[in-house]
Amino acid sequence: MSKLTKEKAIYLQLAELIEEKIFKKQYRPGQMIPSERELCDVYGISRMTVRKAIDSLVDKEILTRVQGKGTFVNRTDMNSAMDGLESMRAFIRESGLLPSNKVIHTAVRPAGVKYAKIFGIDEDSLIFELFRLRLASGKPVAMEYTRVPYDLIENIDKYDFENGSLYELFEKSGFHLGRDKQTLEIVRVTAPQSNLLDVEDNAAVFMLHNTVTETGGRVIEHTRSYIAQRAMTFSTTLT
Amino acid sequence: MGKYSNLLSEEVKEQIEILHESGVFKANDPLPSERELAEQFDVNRQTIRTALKRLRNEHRIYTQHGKGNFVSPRKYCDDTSRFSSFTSGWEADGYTTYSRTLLMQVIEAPLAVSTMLDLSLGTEVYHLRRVRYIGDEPLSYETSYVPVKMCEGLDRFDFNHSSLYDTMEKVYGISLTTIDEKISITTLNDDERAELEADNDDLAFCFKSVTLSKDRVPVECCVAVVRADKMYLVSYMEA
Repeated sequence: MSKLTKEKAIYLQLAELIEEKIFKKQYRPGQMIPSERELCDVYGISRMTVRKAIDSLVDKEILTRVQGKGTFVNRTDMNSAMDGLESMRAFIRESGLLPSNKVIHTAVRPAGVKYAKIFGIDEDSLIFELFRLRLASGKPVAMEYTRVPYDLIENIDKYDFENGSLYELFEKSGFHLGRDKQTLEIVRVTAPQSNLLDVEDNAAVFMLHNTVTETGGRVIEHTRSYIAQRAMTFSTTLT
Repeated sequence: MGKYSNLLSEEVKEQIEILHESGVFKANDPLPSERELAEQFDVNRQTIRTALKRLRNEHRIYTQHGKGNFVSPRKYCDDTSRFSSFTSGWEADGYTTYSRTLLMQVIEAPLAVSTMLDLSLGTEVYHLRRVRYIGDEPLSYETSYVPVKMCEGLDRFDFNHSSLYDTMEKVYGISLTTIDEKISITTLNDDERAELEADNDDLAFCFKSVTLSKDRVPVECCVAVVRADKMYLVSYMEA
């Protein structure tokens, strides 16, 4: 065994060592690991070798490099994903990754049969449509299709959704979140979702639907999201 | 990334979903042909094809070669906000359940199991494998592990008709309080595919759970593989 270990490439040994420290929680999810220079000094190995070890862990999606900041341990599990996507933003932030939104499309259109039923409005009533890509340090994590009754918030179509959150806007406009019905499915995605999420054509992803009701009982948001996340965890207590 | 280019197929998909949700199309009804749909919605065949592909990917329709597209039966809904056994959970929703035991034996816990149950490697555990049915449809392929020392004689029971949780609580006096669950995306292996009679799609939910007793001791762990074309999860969050 020891012979084998000695013969194993040094970068692989370092990669395994880092992985083990992550497993043992010496490097925690979201935490920045020591810099390449520090790793060179500590283990007495070349910068090239350290870089190769980190590259291999970035490829395995165990680490993420953030330009100008450092290398971070990925959070592979999303705690309580069923908390919805606003907590996903928080989760991204906590993990040390930089969250951002990219607005792909906005429109004001008649509700039509489907959304008239969901929002309890006329088919001719207008809804605001907002498609957003959620990113973590520039990497796509979710594609969201949000619909809101247009008359709910004045000038909703003028709001800056790249920098502001819909929930902040709800609160500011006096709507407080009451209830969120969420459904989770596993589906396959094809273009354009697969391209936007930077996954292969026909890749399997989570599909989440959120129907949000404000405290007054009115349905104020319906969102369908495709989430490029391999696993989620949650805990249920027996009542 | 640029402009969002698939609005039309998104709209057509919504139109077909409406027909589905409003009951115009019933489970296993044939869908009109691509040509007919293209005429009906006044779009080209390619747009229809994209919309149908997305509906197929989301398990809203299925295709039989040479016969065309059909409306999928609705997925079963599993409520995650409550903690209940498979048996009592589904029966409360008005379904009949049944299990077919494939395996019940004592094994030495392999690493993955001993880690989940917080045992030392090689500790004796019951290894129960079942296919769970709702009505006559196989839905879930479940493998449970229970430490022998906690439930001596567990292999005497018939788990085709009685619940494992129920038996642990009522016969062995273990009160189950919390379940920690991790949900991930998986594909069925050959054995699972055969047992679950899955011929269309092999996408599945993988639930890895650990059930804790009142004093937070792990008493059971389970790996359940559930057909994603047959089931979705729902939860309700109250603010």
